[in-house]
Amino acid sequence: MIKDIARKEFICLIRDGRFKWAIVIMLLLLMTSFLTGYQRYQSLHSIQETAQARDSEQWLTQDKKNPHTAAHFGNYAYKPQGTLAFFDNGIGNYAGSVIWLEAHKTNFAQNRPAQDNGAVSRFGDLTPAMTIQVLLPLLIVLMGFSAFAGERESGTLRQVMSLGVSSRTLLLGKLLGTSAAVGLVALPAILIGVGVLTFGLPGDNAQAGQRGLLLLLFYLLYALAFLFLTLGVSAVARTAKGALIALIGFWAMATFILPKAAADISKMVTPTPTYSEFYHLARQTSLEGMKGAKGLLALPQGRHIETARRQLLKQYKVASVRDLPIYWVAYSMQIIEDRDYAIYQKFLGQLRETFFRQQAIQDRFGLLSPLIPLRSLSMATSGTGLVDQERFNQTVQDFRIGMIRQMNNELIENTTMKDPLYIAGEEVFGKVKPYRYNPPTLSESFEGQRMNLVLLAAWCALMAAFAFAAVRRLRAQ
Amino acid sequence: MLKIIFSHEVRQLLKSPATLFMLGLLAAAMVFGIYNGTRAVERQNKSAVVAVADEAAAKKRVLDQLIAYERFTAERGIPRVFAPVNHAPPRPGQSPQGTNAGAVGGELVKEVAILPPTGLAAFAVGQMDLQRNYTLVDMKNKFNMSDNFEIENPLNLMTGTFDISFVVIFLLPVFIIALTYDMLSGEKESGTLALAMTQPVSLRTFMAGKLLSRIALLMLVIVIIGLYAMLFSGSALGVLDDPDAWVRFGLFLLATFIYSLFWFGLGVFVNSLNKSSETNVTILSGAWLLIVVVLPALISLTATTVYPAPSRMELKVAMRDASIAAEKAEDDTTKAYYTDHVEMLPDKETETYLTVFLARQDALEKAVEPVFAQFRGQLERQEAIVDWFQLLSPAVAMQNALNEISGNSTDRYNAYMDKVFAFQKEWKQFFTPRYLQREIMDSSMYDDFPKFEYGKEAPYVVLGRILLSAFAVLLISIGMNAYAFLHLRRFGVRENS
Repeated sequence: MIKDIARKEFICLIRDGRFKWAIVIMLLLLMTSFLTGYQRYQSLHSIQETAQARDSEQWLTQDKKNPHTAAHFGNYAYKPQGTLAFFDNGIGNYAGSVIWLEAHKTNFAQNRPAQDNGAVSRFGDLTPAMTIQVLLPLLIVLMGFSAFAGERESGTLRQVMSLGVSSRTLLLGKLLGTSAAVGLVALPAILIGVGVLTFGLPGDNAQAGQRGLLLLLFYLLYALAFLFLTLGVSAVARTAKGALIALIGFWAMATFILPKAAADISKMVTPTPTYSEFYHLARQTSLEGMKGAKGLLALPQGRHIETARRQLLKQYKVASVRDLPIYWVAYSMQIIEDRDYAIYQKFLGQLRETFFRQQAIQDRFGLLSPLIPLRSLSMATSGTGLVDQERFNQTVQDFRIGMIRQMNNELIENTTMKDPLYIAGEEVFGKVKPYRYNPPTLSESFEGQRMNLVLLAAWCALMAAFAFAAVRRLRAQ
Repeated sequence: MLKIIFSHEVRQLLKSPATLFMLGLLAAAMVFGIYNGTRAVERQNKSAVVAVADEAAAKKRVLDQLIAYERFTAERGIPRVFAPVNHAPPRPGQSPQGTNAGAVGGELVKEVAILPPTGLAAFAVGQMDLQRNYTLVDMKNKFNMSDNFEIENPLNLMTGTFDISFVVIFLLPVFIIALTYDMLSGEKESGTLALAMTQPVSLRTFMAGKLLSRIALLMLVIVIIGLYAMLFSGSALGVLDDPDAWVRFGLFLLATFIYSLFWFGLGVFVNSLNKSSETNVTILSGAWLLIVVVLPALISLTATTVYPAPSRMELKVAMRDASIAAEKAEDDTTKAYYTDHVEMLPDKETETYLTVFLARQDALEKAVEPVFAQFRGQLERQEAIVDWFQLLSPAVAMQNALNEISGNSTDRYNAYMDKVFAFQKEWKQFFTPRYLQREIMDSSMYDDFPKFEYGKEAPYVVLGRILLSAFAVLLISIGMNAYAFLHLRRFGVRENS
């Protein structure tokens, strides 16, 4: 019986002119988004590889010079994309992918494509993830809204019910039929996705297979939630028109309004500091000392250096820095570097906390919209979310202080105040190994995603319960 | 007759809880939107204020040292001397860095060149959540200045701001669709259309009455809440007495009206096809999705595919290549010791430290200029494509118009950056000759430093940028309405087409 109902539903759907159009358009959009996602990934990947390689080369082959001047020349650290970025670009357009590492300055990640793409890009990208997150639910709504309400209006529901079909059978039949029609659209997309993953993209492929499977699961739960919701509303609504209006209203709310409102509310609750405030505070702390810190960090910069100078003079038992066997200028610069590293670690850490708190606030709106948990999970799985970005930011700053220290130590150890000239070449610069981004493992990616997992599963389960309850109370008229 | 239908429809709409709910939702969304937009502008202003205060304090430190030195020399009747570049604080009586124009204009004092937000900035945040509205100008190369990014959670940037422009571009059409999708089909399905047609009224007049009543109601809400938004953001940002703000507000209402006409026209058109209400909703929501979501994404994709911007990464690589080349071109003695720290130089080299530094900045700028020009050229060509394709999607045209009207568009930003680059030349011309001639700066000169004045964009400049798209959208909506009303002649009151 389930099979018969499903077949009827399926045939009705694919014969309906409206849905033919919808299916064709959706299919075209999915194909386009996959192709462009693939193409974007490839071009960005090659640009990144080239730039990172070129940067290492520039670092090594820069003119012979004072090592500290080399530290001013600095390096660039590039963030490579994960393979699944072709599917879900996540925050990729809005997060910097390159950080300049130079002496004395702590810089933010730069090169956000959105800044250079013009305002039209703010409408959002046509990525496969976006297409499925936003368009697929609408397709489901359009295909399913009349499943019960339409039959009730045309009087066929009374006939079907008079045959003694159980409500469970009826719902499962409709579910299968509609899923099959939706599957016509989704299947090619899944095949392309699997194909790309199997035959491979250049880049990091670790756990890409498992991640792909997880994505499939998450999107399946999402689609099922909308499918159950649609069928449930169709069973409850008095007219097909009413069902459609309610469902489209929910769709617009869940996919467009709530995510945006959530972002603004999260900014209200936890404001992001501005660029000038951030640097003002960091510089001021560097000069005047960190309140509540232990040891030399609490002192003003001048006294910090003065204390270190006296310690050094005592240690080497000399009266003036001119008599030290090490180079005092470089030594004092390194004191400031280490001090600033600790200070910036604190402020960058606070900023990171602000970002994650904002994300947590937005995730709570997942109670009202299934898109929100799905979006977070999809980004986390694809390696294009906040976790990955912050991991990059953090590891790059650690790399930076190592590079600077290496260069300053060269000076400290090899020169003195009396003889400060020291010209280094490739053999010294080569001691700094190029930066390598080490992407998070699967379990690291899902840190902080537990609530989203629960919410997405809950959406699916609750909508299923709603649909079954609605169908149990189904009335023929 | 039109008047009777109009007032009847208005009464009916106002008695429908669904309509009232929708109008209330629209008003609430606009209020929420202006609140968010105002916060965004306030944040921007706050950021600039901190930068201005920081730079003023830096200038004051330099000036205070200089004044102390001037007093010291005057009291003792000794001549003042020019101070070579030096990173250590001056000892009492030693000439401070404030006498050296190169040190002052090159690194100690910076001008904060501000792009002031317009009086309507809170209506459409545009790209301003990505960029700072100020630039720190000094004598270093200009590419350092051009990357004015603002800190923000990338997650929030991705989602975008819930501002008035979002409400107008995305939500307003949804409300219009909800108000129009069953104008005729609903009457027909409930059987009242045939009844109404027994009265001495033509279907066109009937439709016109329904349409006008809906337009009037919606525009009333938009004007009232828009005015509230203007007063709210205007008083928060202190621009209420700025006539320019009110001109822009007028342009905002006009653009919103034209954009609404398009969606009303679409509603009338779909109704004239004589299909069921469900089919109308399906078509209209499909059209919404196409115009507001799919086409903009495709247009953006086309622009970036046809004219891919050389990535900023490539720009950075080019800058480093140029810097290496400049290094190699310098003469050997300076090259060997050249460092970014004057205290590391042998004494005889400190004199030329800044000269070498400035020369290198110039060489770098010259070498990177072509890459930078190409970079900006590609972006301009992308914008040009979008300008043409916006005729396909009124939503893109509307976004462009609102960004222009609110003053947060790419065009205005680029025009501002051009002014900043020109100003930097002025800044350099002020300090470089003085430095090269070893002129001893005195404290009276400090008021004469070049100051950046953005000036204002005249309203006609803004109008010029949006005229084409506004006209196109107007034409499309008039065309659609005309076609639909002509089509109504063949509308079957009883049977479906």
